[in-house]
Amino acid sequence: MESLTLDEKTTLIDVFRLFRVCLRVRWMRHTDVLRVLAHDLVGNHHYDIAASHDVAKFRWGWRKFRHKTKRGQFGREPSAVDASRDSNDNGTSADRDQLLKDFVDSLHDLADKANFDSVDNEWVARSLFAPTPTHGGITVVPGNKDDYGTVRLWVRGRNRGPSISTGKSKGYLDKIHARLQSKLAPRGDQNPDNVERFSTVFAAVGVLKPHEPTTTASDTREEVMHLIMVNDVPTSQLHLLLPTVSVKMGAFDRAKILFMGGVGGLTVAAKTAAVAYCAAESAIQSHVAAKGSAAAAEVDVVTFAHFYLILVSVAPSHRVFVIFCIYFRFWTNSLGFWRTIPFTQV
Amino acid sequence: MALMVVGGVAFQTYAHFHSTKSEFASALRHQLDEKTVARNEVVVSTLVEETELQELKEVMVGYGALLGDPDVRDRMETTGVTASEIKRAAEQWLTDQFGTKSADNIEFDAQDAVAKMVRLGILDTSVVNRQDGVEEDAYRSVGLDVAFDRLRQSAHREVDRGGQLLPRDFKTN
Repeated sequence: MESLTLDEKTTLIDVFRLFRVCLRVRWMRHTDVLRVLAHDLVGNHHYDIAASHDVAKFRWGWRKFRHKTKRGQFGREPSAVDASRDSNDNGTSADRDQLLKDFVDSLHDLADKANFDSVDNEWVARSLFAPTPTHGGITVVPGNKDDYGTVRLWVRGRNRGPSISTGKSKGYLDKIHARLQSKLAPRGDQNPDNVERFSTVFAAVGVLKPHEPTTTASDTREEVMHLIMVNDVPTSQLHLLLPTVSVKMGAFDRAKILFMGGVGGLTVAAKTAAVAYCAAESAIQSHVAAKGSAAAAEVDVVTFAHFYLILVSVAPSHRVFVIFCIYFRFWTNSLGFWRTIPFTQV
Repeated sequence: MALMVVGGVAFQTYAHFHSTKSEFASALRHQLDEKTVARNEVVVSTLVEETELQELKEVMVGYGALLGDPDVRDRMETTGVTASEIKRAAEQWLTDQFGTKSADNIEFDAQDAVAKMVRLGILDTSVVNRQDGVEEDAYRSVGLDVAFDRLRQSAHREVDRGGQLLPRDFKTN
């Protein structure tokens, strides 16, 4: 640029400004067309992340108020507003599908002109909905692929930086795990403070929703498009942009709780069975002492039948087991043995 | 006692999960809110603006690179330069400006930029014969003053097509 004179530089700047005016006017026309399409096809509600539901529910009051100020429909869920708007639409489902396809194609053309690269559809279908590894006791579940119609991603630029996380490791095991991962992975890709990220990600996600609340058949579901453009998304965390992403407990913790529950249940069952057995045995002895050997045989059969039922009831369900325990307690109580056997003997 | 220990461990595991889940959800929302450029209908406007800016940058880099290189500029005003030469000049200029290690790391879409400049009338097209006998399009600059006049006319044409978005006597300088 040094070879240009001052007048030439000034004219060049004017040329570029005029060129921008040309572009602006041309693209304003395209924007109007796309806005009309987007108004009908894209959900107007907040692009909510299901995983952050716990936080979102505290904002309900504000969202409701904001909804009133924007549309004057106080107290109505955004989805209900969308549904009522759609019910006024006279277009058929096929028309809407065609409009949706045209809209996504237009977005793809625009993204291509804006130098975005389209993410391979096969990769999206294969990897985006795959379960992610557990970290810090939680597993991020992207959602069910069947709940989505269109899933298109466009990315532009790459940089490095921290990943999307809580920003701290929970315990020594997590720290050791992260350190091992960063050492084993090439170029330290797994280090949460220095991961590869896309500079800008643009996602167009069509979520399938039933036409009516009572309808669950998949062929009647309607696709509502969600659009989002985000900066600095880690390449391994693209699934966090999906609206249905949720957080589940890790397999290890789940197994631990189940194991503890099992041990606790077995302990209670064993203790109850022991109490029942002692009570039954004492009942037989007292009954025999009072009425003789014929009654002893009768009591023996009845007692052990009840005892057997209690043991069997442990297997089918916890509720049945509890019912039988209570029943056994009343039955033995009627014989008067809970008063004679101190609990400490068990 | 055993029941208390077992129940305590189970409760601690669940409480830890619940705490981590809440923290993760909060962090996710916070970080996505910070990084989100646009959502839903606003994305359309943002994407159009991005497209407009990218097109502008392409033309600026292509045209600026041609004018900035004295040799290329001389030939552009006489015999014309090919798209591959424009691409080379633009990539070299970008390499010099941004200090990239190698020009191979930069991929400039010269065909797209040239097509826009031709459409707007700031480059003229002619056909040249290469040394190997293959015919190739060559592009000549119309000069800055002529380019300014043509772009002004283009701007008015665009305004006429799109309605009265700008006054008829709109001038940038």
